[in-house]
Amino acid sequence: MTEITGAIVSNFSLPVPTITQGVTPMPTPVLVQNATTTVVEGSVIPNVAPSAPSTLNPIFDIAPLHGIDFLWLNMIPLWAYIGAILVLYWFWFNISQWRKNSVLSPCDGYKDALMAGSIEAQQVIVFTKSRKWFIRMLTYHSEGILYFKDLLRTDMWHMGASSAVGTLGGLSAAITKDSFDEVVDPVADIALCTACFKFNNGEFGDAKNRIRAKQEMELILVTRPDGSDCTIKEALNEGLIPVAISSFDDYIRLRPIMESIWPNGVDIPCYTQYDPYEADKYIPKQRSASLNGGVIIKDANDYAEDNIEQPNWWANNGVAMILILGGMIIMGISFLATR
Amino acid sequence: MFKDTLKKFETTLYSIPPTIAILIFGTLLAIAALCVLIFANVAAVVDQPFFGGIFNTTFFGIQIYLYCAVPAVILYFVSYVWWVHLKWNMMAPFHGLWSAINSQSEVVFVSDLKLNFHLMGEFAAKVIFDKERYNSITHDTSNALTRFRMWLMPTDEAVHTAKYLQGSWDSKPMTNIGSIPAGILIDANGWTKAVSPERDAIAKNVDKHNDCNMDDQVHSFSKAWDYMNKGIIETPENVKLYVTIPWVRIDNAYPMKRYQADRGGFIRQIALNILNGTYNKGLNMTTAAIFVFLVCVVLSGVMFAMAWFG
Repeated sequence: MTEITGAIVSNFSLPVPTITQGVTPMPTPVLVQNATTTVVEGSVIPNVAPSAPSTLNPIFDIAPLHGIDFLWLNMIPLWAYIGAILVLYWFWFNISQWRKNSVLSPCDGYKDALMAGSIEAQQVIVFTKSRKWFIRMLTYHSEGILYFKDLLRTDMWHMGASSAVGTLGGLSAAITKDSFDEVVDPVADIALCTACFKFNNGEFGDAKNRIRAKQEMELILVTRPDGSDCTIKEALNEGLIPVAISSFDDYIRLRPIMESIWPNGVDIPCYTQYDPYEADKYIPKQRSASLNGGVIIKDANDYAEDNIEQPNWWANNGVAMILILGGMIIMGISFLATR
Repeated sequence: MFKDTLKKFETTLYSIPPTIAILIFGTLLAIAALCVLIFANVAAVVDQPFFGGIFNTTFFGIQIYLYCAVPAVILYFVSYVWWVHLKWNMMAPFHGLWSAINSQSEVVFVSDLKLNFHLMGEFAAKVIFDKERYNSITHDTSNALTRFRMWLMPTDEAVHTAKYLQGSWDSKPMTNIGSIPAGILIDANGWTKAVSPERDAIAKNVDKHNDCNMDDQVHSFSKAWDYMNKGIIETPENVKLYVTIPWVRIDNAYPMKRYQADRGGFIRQIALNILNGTYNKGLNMTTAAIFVFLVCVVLSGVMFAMAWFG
């Protein structure tokens, strides 16, 4: 029996700096107690020792720079170098992938719509007033409304025709601007701008077309404020219709004349750049998406007030009250039963 | 003979992606360097285990650091699946944005009349001729060093060359996608498609024009369209410069009148949803009460457990 003092005690020493093959035999256990301890077995007590056997691997414990006695280079084994390279590469991989994917983040709505896969999920390309472009997923209602499910975001768009909806990345894609409450059709935008530009600049085609258009225009009648009709020439002289287009109202009033000039429609270049903001000068004013949504929500609230019975306090909170009461009763019974 | 072998080696090497080649050659180089160090008596087994032998602890005769390879492989696998499969591959239609930011060029959304959008690079969307024509001007492929550089760091200067040759360029980025300028293009007759008879016909006529007018070359579709429209370049028979958009399409996009009844069903639906609290994102009374009820049940259970085991 040996009396010892010490805190960490074991009965085997550090491995010698040679390659040890196979498993080191387990040492005899030593019973360790507090400061003054009676040890039953064992007699060799070193100061520091690992808790399990350790051996050197003949390949991975080679120090590539063993012969260089600078800093601790002679002590760093091969596995530490490999581990460091793997860890650093892992960090570099994650950072580079994060950077790559963050470039695509404006298009994240595409992934949302792809994953949602529901009839309500609609991929929407958005042109903001700040000239940014991104994709988001909105909810589509069969009445032709695009909206956010969270009604705290009041923007809503009217989806008038399927000709204004295209595809992007294999999914149906609507285009919206936050300054206008209709889904945007770029082709119609270009046609509208071209028609207005040509009309304002007097580009009415060749002489043959001008003669034909003039004959057709003579048949168009304009209604005066007093209800009487007059010809286009008289209406122009009396100032009933504008001479040029500078707004959507002007376009509406001059539309019959434009149709007589270009009866089949508007010719646009087959290869042309599209500016989503160019048509802003001709489209209807005061029809932003947020205004549209706000009006719809107000209408919905008015409708509910007039036509749907408002639930009273108990209808709203009755279930909650019963649950709370039930919980308290269970607690009370448990308390009484376990006293 | 030697030249042929070298050529074959070069062809094989350039068929491997640079990243993979660097990985393979790097590993081989590292092994070779280690062998050299061992033979030169520089490398040898460490005098004492690294970090006091914590990582050299053995289980079933294998060092603990070798077991770390298993979580490392799992970590790599999870990272790869997360970034590559769940993030990058799912956004395949927009990978051009990354190419654009690397080459510091624009991107173009090209659409036909049916609004089928495709993301394209500036070259594919705007330039008439083949890429090879421009790259052969800027890169001397007879030089082995240039070929190696092109394999290691491929650079595509076709757009820059086309811009330089033309002198002026119709560049109109209308919007920004993140930090990348983006244009939107309507290509009604499919000039920008990979296989396009119209494009071939235009290219032939433009070539003739460029041969006679070296100071006023045409390399972009927009300039070619403009010159064909003005009659400076002859318009091929199969090419139409205009498409007619019927009035009804404008009417659909900008209805002259809108009727309240058109959205009546939607308003009723929203009214019901608001009343039913479908859109109430906050914690409602019933949810809070369920939470309180569950807490009461758990506390009761604890009371019984304490009574029985305490």
